[in-house]
Amino acid sequence: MKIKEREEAGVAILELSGKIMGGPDSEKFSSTLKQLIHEEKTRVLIDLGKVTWVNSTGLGILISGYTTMKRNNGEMKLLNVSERIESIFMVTKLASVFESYKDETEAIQSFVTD
Amino acid sequence: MRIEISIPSSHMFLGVPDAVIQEIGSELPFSQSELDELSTSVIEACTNAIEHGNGLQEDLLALIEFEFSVGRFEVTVWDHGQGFEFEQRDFTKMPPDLMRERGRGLYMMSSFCDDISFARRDGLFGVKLTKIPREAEAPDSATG
Repeated sequence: MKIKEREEAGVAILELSGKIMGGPDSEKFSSTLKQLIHEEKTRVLIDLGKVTWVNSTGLGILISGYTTMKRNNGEMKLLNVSERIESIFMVTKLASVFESYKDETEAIQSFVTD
Repeated sequence: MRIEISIPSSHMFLGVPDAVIQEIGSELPFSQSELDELSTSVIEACTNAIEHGNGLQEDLLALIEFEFSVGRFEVTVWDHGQGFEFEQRDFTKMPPDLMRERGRGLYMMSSFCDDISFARRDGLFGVKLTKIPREAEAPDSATG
């Protein structure tokens, strides 16, 4: 998994690419979020548009990130979830946990209106 | 028809069975979502095999057998572990804690595949996943 970071309108956008599958991915994602929290950037949008697949360990990484942001009075939302990943969220009922958007502008706006 | 591959017990090889399923499956009457469901399940089985069965020892291989026909796609993943008491587990129920970070693998396999079974052979523990295309027209016994 690779992580590319940028910022739009006060929202940190993490563009993930490749596979989210455990191993070093967990530490990489966790340390990126911790750095954002340290910089007081607690509105985080995870762009999954270039992620080919996620396994259950990868789901755990996303859940851990979500709870980390919540614990620090932040928010983590998802962008560009593929049909393949969406089907996993549906089966595991995580679709009811993760707020997900197809449009980046709409996703960024959602942080403002929360 | 049948293909066998072996992967070292490292996460970096988990994409290999995915690539095999997508390549072979494109020639079979499975929809893309059905292939993705099978592939997700096989990746889960391989994740369990390399992490729990083989303890991430790269010199221990996970053996993956692909058997396919017009009406059926079966994948068996073997590892060198002891396995678990599968007779006493109900994989069809979702883990009760929605925010738990681990423990969804078998439930996902059970949800995405038409059948899941377990076996022991020559010191190996295996999980067999079966996917049948929803709109299969040919009998499932037709091979080749």
